[in-house]
Parts: sequence; structure tokens; C-alpha cells
Amino acid sequence: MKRTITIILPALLFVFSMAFIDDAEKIDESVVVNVTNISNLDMPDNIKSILDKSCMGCHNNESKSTKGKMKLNFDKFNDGKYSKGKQIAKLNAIVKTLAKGKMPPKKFIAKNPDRALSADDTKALSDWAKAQASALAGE
Amino acid sequence: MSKKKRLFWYSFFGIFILMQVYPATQPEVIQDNPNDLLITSKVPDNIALMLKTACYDCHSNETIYPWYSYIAPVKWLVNRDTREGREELNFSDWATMSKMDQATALSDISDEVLEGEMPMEIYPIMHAEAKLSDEDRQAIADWADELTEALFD
Repeated sequence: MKRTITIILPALLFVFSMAFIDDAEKIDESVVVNVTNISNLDMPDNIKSILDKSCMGCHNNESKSTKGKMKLNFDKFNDGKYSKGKQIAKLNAIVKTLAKGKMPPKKFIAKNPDRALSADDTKALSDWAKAQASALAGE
Repeated sequence: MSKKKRLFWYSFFGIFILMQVYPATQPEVIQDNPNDLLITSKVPDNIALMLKTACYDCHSNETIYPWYSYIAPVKWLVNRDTREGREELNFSDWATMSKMDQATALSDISDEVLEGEMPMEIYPIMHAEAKLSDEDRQAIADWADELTEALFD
């Protein structure tokens, strides 16, 4: 009886604590991909270099972060996989995610401090995404 | 019962009682939501039913709290998931959202339902009716994708 409890109780506590922990994301920092081939969006050089530095490691077809590329995949802007509505939705998601300070992930930045977004980077990227979304939406 | 055993059970129930009185805030239930998606948009019946049974407990103001959601520690989990779910997307506020935010929400619905990220794995354990088949998931994604395009036609 006592033994059962000493096993079951910690096990239950463990299960509950797991439910309160956000699942860690797999991020492969070694992958560096360039966005230079994205032609569907109007992309100035400064935006291109910001994306290459801080975003493209995960948000492309070859990414090992399944969640990262499911949430946003820049290759799909170019190969027709993102319809117009989807492109607008994703660009607006960039604006919202940046506003919340959720990207790039803290863990990724801890390992790759040089890939962090400066306040200026964030503003430039956000303004660009907003403008692209509005242009696509015809606003 | 030995002294040790008794001490164990007393402390076990003591902690359990303490957990129950520990303050917790349950997200409020509101039944009248004039801006709700299902009221303001024409959603096919089969999709509306799935949204109601698989999503609305966390993603609307019409949460149906089961009896065990009043008992800690489950209470804490349900309260947190409902609060965070509504913050992320609240179907009760649909008509107040901008067109672009609606598009982003629909895009997330399509991606996450198709990838099996939503509903959260823990949810159908106690809500069997919220289990979605692959066909269900595809139907929701198709509906969401179609509506996303229609927003910008």
C-alpha cells in the first residue's frame, strides 16, 4: 500500500507538472538558408538581411523545426503553396508575433546572441510585413 | 493503522484541502455573445457542430465547466487553458476582429487542426465527442482556407 503510494503520487505530480511546462522546441541553428529567391514579395535588401539573420533558420522548407515551418514558411510565398489570403494571414501573424516579442525564441537567442533582432530590426520587419499585407489585401 | 500511516493520510488530505482553498480565478461564462462567429457568419452545420464540441470550451465565452474542473489541481489546469485559449482566439468576439486578424486566426485554425496541434491532446481524454477524425480535420481546414480567401475577394 505504502509502496504503491510512493510510486503513484510522484508519478501523478510529474504528469501534472508536465502539463504546466511548455514543450521545448527543436531548433537547428546550423541551418542557414537565404531568402534571396523569394520574388513574390517586394523585399528590400535590409529586410532580406534581417530575415536571413533571424528568421530563415527555421521558417523554410528544409527546416528541422516542424512547428516553425508549419507556422510560417517563406518558401511557400514563392511556390504557390500560400494563396493570397494565406499570405495576408501569415504577414499579419508576423506583425502580431513580433509585437508580442515571441520571436525569435528566447532559447535560440541565448545560443545565438548575434541573431537577435534589434528594436530597429523589429520595427523595420513589422512595418514591412504590415505594408505587404495591406498591399495584398488592396487596402 | 500505524502511526506513520495515519500521519501520511492526514497530511495527504490536509494538502488536498489546502489546494482547494488556494485562490483561483475561473474565466467567466457569458452566454449572450452577439459578435460570435456562429451568429455573425454563415458556418456550415457540420463545421459549426465541430467548433462547438471541439473548440468552444476554451475558445469562446461559453465554456462548459465539467464537475472535475472545480477540484484542484485539475481546476488550475482548466482555468489556465481556458484563459490562454480565449486570449489566443475567442470566437465570441469574432465580429469585433479586423479582417486581417480573422485571416490569421483562420490560417492558424487550418494549420493547427490539420497538424493535430489542436484540440490539445489532453482535451479529448475527457471529451470523447471532441475527437476529430482525419476527415473532420480536413473539413475544418478546407472551411477555414475557403473563408480566408473569401475575406479578400
